[in-house]
Amino acid sequence: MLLDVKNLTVGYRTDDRQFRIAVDGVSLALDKGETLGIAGESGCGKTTLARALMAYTRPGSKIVGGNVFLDGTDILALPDRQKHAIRGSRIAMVPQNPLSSLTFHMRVGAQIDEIVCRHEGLSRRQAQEKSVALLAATGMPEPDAIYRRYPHELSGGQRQRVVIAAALACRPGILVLDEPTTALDKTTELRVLELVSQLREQFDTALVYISHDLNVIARVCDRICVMRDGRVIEAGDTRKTFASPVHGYTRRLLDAIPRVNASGPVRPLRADSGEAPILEVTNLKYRYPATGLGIPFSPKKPGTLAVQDLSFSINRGRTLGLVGESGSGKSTVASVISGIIPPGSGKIAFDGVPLNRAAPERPADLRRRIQMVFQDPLSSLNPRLSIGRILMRPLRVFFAMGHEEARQEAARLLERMDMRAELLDRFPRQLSGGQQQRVALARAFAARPDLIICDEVTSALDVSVQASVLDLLLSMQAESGVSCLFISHDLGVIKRVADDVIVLQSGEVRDAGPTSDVFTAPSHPYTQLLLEATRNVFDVRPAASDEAALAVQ
Amino acid sequence: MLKKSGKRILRSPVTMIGIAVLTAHMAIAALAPWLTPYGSSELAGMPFEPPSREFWLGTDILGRDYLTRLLMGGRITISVALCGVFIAIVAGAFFGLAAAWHGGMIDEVIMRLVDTKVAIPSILLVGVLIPGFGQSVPVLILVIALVYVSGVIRTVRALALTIAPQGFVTAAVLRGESNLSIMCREFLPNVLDLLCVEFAIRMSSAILLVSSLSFLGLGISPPTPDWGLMVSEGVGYIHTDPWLVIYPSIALSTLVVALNLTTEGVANALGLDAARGMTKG
Amino acid sequence: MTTISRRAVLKASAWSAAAAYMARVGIIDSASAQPAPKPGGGLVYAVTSPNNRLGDATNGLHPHNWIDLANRTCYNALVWVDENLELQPELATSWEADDGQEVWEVDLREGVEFHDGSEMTSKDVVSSFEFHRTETSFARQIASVEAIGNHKVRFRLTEGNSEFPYILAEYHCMIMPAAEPDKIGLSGIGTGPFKPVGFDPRRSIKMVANERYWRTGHPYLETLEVVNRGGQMEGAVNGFLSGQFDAVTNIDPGFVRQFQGRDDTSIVYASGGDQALMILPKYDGSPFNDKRVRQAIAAAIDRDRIARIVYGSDGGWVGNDTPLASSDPNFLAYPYKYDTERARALLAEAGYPDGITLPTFYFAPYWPEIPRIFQVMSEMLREAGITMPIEERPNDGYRQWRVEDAEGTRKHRFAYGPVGIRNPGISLYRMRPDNNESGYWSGESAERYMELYAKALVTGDPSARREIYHEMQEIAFEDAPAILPVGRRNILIHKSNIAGLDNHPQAWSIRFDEVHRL
Repeated sequence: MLLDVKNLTVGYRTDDRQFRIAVDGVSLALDKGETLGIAGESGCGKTTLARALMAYTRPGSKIVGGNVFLDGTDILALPDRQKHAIRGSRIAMVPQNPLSSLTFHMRVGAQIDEIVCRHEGLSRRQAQEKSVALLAATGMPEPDAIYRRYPHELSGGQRQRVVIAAALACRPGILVLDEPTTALDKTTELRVLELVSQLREQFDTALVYISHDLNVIARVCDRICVMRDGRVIEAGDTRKTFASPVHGYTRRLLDAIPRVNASGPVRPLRADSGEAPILEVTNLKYRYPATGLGIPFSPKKPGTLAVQDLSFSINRGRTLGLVGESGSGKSTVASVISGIIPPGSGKIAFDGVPLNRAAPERPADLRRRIQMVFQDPLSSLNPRLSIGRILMRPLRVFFAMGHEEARQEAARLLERMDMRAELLDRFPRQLSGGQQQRVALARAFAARPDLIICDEVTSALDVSVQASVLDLLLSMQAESGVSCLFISHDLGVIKRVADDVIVLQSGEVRDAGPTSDVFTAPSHPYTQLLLEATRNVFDVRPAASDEAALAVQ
Repeated sequence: MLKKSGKRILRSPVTMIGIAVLTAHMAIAALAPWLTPYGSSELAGMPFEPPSREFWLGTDILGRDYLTRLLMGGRITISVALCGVFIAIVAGAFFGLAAAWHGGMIDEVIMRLVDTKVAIPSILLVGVLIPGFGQSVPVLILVIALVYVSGVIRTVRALALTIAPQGFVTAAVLRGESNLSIMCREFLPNVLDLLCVEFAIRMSSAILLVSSLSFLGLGISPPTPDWGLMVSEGVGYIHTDPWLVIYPSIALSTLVVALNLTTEGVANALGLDAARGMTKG
Repeated sequence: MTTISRRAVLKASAWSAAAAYMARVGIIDSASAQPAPKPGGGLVYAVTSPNNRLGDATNGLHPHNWIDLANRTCYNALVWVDENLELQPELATSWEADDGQEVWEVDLREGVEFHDGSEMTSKDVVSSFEFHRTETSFARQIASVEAIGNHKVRFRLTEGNSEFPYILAEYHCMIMPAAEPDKIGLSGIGTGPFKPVGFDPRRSIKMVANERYWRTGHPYLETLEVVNRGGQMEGAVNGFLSGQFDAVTNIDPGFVRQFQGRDDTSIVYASGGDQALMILPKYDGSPFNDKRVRQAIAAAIDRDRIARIVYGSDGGWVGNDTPLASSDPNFLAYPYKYDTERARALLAEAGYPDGITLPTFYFAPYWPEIPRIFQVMSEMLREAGITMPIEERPNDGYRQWRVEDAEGTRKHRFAYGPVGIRNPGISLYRMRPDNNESGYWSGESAERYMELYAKALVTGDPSARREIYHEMQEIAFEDAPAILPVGRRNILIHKSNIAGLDNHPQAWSIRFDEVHRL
């Protein structure tokens, strides 16, 4: 057995000095060349476990029990020097955020060199050759050029490849990947996952793959452990587990994943009312403002074109899904319509009224009628204001309500969002992510809007929470008849909420039409690629054991 | 949350020592006139009298009771530093938020002024301003405010810049809130912690600055009892009467150290709370 | 105990200063009686009195810009005032006045050479005084100066002055080689015992012995360096302790404590020194226009106590509200007792029954004890219901700041002024009505005071003059034009291996001719 974890327990000290257990008696085993997925929602202890596999804990945490045998040696019992020697050479890690794991002021090549030099004692020249070879192995087109770049000069995918190259520098027996693709676009994620699989075979490395995304785990891993509250609640072969989960929690997790596959639940199409559309966008173009120092006569760089010639309309009571990866211009569209930024060229008509100004210059009633919900629920709520004050503010601004009236209305709104009115006196940080996003929704609905713009509202949430927030949104929409512009990179989510869909890439429309049509018969290759990247792959990749079984048959 | 922070403070012995010493200093400063039977500049005895039942710490170069002067010596310094730093904090918060929120020319002008100020050593600035405007307590307060306002502007602006792109600020803009309302309602509550910590940090530094100025003859004028001034008066007698220097030095250093310990402890208790809350999971 | 420290103790009284003078008169004889001082070696001494003119000097070599730093190291005047304030011949050998004390004939020493080897003659003296009589306030009374042969000059005064030779001893009135008025003195050449070689008066003046010095056999020292530590008492004393300086002049009486009982240090007290003047401006609207307010302030000050607190037992002397020093034979002791009741009564009479708040009083720390004197005074005045806020000003530019535009507007500040020790003819003249030191004193008393002064100036007989001076002092006691409560006795410390360094109540009159190393 390459890696054998026995009864591993990790605890940490909380603010009030109590000792809490983050990883509770976890046992798992990993053989040569095997791939193990560790799945679970945020806070389940999976990252702590990953670190403990390298005999490392965050300051304040402590491994309190169990063993980690690497090739039969308990690495937890080793002296610190030997622990350091093992990390990076025999067991390496790819952390979640590639930017924060690269030093920003060093060329990426030098950073890989450093690892190679330290563990293998190569000369600078040899190290450089090896680093370039590693970068080439990660499939980057010009490894020599990449070698000389700084981290900020690389794209997200490139950075992640550099980090993977660095991790593989010493050909470790085990590679631990902690959410390596969470920060990436779906299509990029797909490519990185392919790379990981390919490298695994090429370098003959065992993988521990940690992710909240069951889809990703299904693509990469032979075996899976599902964690909850620090315990492994279910473990076994990936395919079998997904096909017939034993534990109720695993089943709930699987059910909560929005499905793009035809077999998933399809949103019932709302009837087109036939009225004039609530929002009509014609030939919208938007160029980022020129950047400069803001001093008169200082040189300016012309801005890039974020949106090119975009036309669409949203009918009353319907939801338009706007799909695209980062940089596709979808958030710019939201900003222009909501009035965060002044409009570019083209025409935007809201209920017949042209939207040709930024929000502060719009009439108050217009501001009220268009509401926006943001991606990160925590940052969209002022952490220093109570939930009550947050919800009362729009009521007082838009409806000039008195304090008491506003407070009652706020309480009513909270209850409508399936939350207790006591939460009015809480602060955003004391709420869970789902509750925070519901408060954000409640704030938007407090203004009794006609159009609500949802910008990636679920992407910061765990899947199970995500489902409940989406359900809430749908029911609110059904109740109030509000129209919705729903922006997301997640096709599954879009499929669940949107009547119509527009696929954006580089500021241009690639595909448009009713959701069911676009998803079942994509007309543009990019849409096909997106669909492929998001498809639930529970049955796509036959597990190694199955292949063996087939061979036997 | 406050309760938690309170507990954390109680558990840190160093912070508790800081708070105890600080409280003692404040109590003494507040009650000083009633603690000894002498006036602070009263010529109660002959110069250089040794400690006795009458004068517990002896008398100074003019025959004034040294204990009285020592107890009174912190009052002016603390008040001047307090007023100066308070003005610096209020003005710094205003200009820092304005710079961060308005951006553009306003930001440029404010920050270039701040840079200019930072490029001039404080002691030089003070050395030019005080003789220029005359040596008086209001001038001293304004000079202290001027010395510290630039730092406050910088830190407030830096934090405000991280707040500005957050959703709740955008939400307020979309509601059509006025700039003043956004600054007061959305920004201010979020920089309040920082302002408190800034206040405490600048406070200890300001106390030292006022004392140094008094020592150099640019701060508090005699015969007002003041530690910096007392050190400067006593420094000539350090070979024969070192206590004239040692007592006020001890008083000054315990105050500053206590202030720093308290600040650090309280900031840790409050700041770590916020930081942990964000990085949890 | 060494001879030197015994000598220092002797110097501690005015009587002993007189004894020292007796010794000096016969200096050649006594020098042959004792083992002759060993020539050679150098002396580095620090001056701590701030030299307020140097900052403005366009050419520091000019004696007008040296002031009390070290005039008599490089230059000589015609007359020298000795340690007991008696006149001694310097470049003059004798002098004589007519009956009206208006025309003075002065015989010059022969064979005196300047540093550059040229001989000093009456031409140089005339040229020097043509300059001084326009540039030095004390010398303005000289109406004309003319040469009578090579070694005699005649001064004509605008009016009689029985104490004119004291003017010739003033620190400005040095003899320089003859030149045009706009060039004279700029060469730095004098007749003194030392020649300047390095000149940076803000820091130090380096000098070497003048081999042509007219006092044959003097100076003993080969080099002399004056280091300017104006206003930096601690620095000077630390420099002394670390061996950087062999002597420090004008040290703070408080600092003396640490040197008492040390074998390697001698403390030398002079018979007197500067006194602190509180100027009472008497322009329209000033509270000091009222004589009773001035008298109240004078009555509310315990002079003995100030002297005791500030100077200790032997560092100071009690003044009498005139610029005359207590060591002067013409000095009258202050007649009134410290009396707060009288002060309150006078104030009530002047319309301040609940006490009075005076304008802020300003002072600069010319001497380190100056802030102390006025802090103590402020406390004492408080006991009599007089509130006097005080504020310290920097030494730099203090004089200009305090006087403001007094010449034009008569408005000037309620402030401290330094008063040096001089003969009565000069000292009592300071209280003249057109001088800001008297606060532009006016009225009948002032007129009477000046009448008496004019009479004294033409009175050749010293005892008759003394009568007049007493009467003038009595007028000042009664009218209180200014307050001069206490004065210092200058203190000098030097290493015990230095001899012949006598202290002097006039810092600028210290001579270095006799100084030698043991």
